[in-house]
Amino acid sequence: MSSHYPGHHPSSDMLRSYCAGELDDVVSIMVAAHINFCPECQKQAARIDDELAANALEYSSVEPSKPLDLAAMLEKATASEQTAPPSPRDKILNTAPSDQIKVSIRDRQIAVPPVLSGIVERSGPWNHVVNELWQSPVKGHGHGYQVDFIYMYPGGTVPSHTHNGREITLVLDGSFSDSEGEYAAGDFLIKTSQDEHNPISERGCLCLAAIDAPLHFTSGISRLVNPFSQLFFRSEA
Amino acid sequence: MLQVTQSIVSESPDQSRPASNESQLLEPERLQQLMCRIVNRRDKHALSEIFELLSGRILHFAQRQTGDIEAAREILQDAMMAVWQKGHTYNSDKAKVTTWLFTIVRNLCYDLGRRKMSRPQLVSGESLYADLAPEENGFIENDCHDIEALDNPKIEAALDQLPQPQRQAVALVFLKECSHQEAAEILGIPVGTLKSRVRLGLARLSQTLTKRSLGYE
Repeated sequence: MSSHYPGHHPSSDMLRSYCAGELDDVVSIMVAAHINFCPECQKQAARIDDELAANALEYSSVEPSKPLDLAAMLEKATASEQTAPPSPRDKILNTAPSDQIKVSIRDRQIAVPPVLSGIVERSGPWNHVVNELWQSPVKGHGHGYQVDFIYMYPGGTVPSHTHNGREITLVLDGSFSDSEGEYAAGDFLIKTSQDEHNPISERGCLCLAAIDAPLHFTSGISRLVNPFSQLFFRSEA
Repeated sequence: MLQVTQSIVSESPDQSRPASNESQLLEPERLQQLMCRIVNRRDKHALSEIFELLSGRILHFAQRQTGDIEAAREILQDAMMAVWQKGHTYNSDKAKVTTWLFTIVRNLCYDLGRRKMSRPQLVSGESLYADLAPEENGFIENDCHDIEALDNPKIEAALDQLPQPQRQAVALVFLKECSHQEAAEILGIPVGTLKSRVRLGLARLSQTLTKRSLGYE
């Protein structure tokens, strides 16, 4: 992972929803992975936590609707002095921060933020899509939209397209550009149906993308192969 | 659909702010003292008091997050257990008690919410928010009493250059040979805070001593 600081961030509303635990898990993971790259959003999110905590907890208690038996709860909470050993489920879920998570493509191993471990585990083999573009679909995430790792070899392009729905992209390694700008590791961007773009990657790049409708190709020969977008878009549902 | 829109657009009104005038701002110092008693002395009364102050609000928040009163009760129970068992990770230099507790409850809500919806577990709440723990970036001055003079002038000189909270922590643990627990009790801070001060203090100390021994200063 590079020392570059991301220039494209989730909106502050999105950060707030992440801190409040209101985003779905895939999008939460993408925001968390961005934060792993971005000290600025890390600080902002910590401030939001402070605020949310103040709103939720800093004033004296409200009466619960049904009276609580606090004494019994305390009894239970303090019953076992020994810290219980972590259950197998916890072991799977709590990947130690030191554990390196890597995405493999051919002979390359690319380190990604540990919070992506559950996504990497569910990613399938790499399929060739078009030109220098490869895709590794993530299965079993339980949402009605598509999640993929996307890899572009150096010099790769994606034909000009719009999005019928919304696409969230997180750059994990390398960089790509379109008419709007250049995106490098940690950058978090959302494209909607208003955005037409044709990404190019000179150095090659690895991204994670969540996309909720087929791409719609708008240029040249690729218009003829629009049915191909059905190949790109395989819904989980 | 990506469910982003739903939660982004609806900036939820703050339903948790009390409507009545009876609610009062909890004193952060009081909460911190209670945490000290829980962690350093295993004081069940302190645990009881903290939850008398906060359980209604935790329940309210958890019910709003999970939409389920039974789930909220389970979360409250788990939060209580977390304070009892993981209280030593609380560091008063890094966060207020309420912020620390909020993150515990939020993470529990995340996990239980996913389980109740029979969602695949892609990540635990704890891992999802792991990067939000603030950096270790120093210390908070407090007015604890100075420790007695030390009998090793060389170390004393190096110690003198440390900020007071770190100096006290290092001196108690390494020169007075107190346990972390005892040192935390003497200073009236949670064990997590003490450990972090010792770590920071030792790091600075080793810098100073190494530089000196190499003749750079």
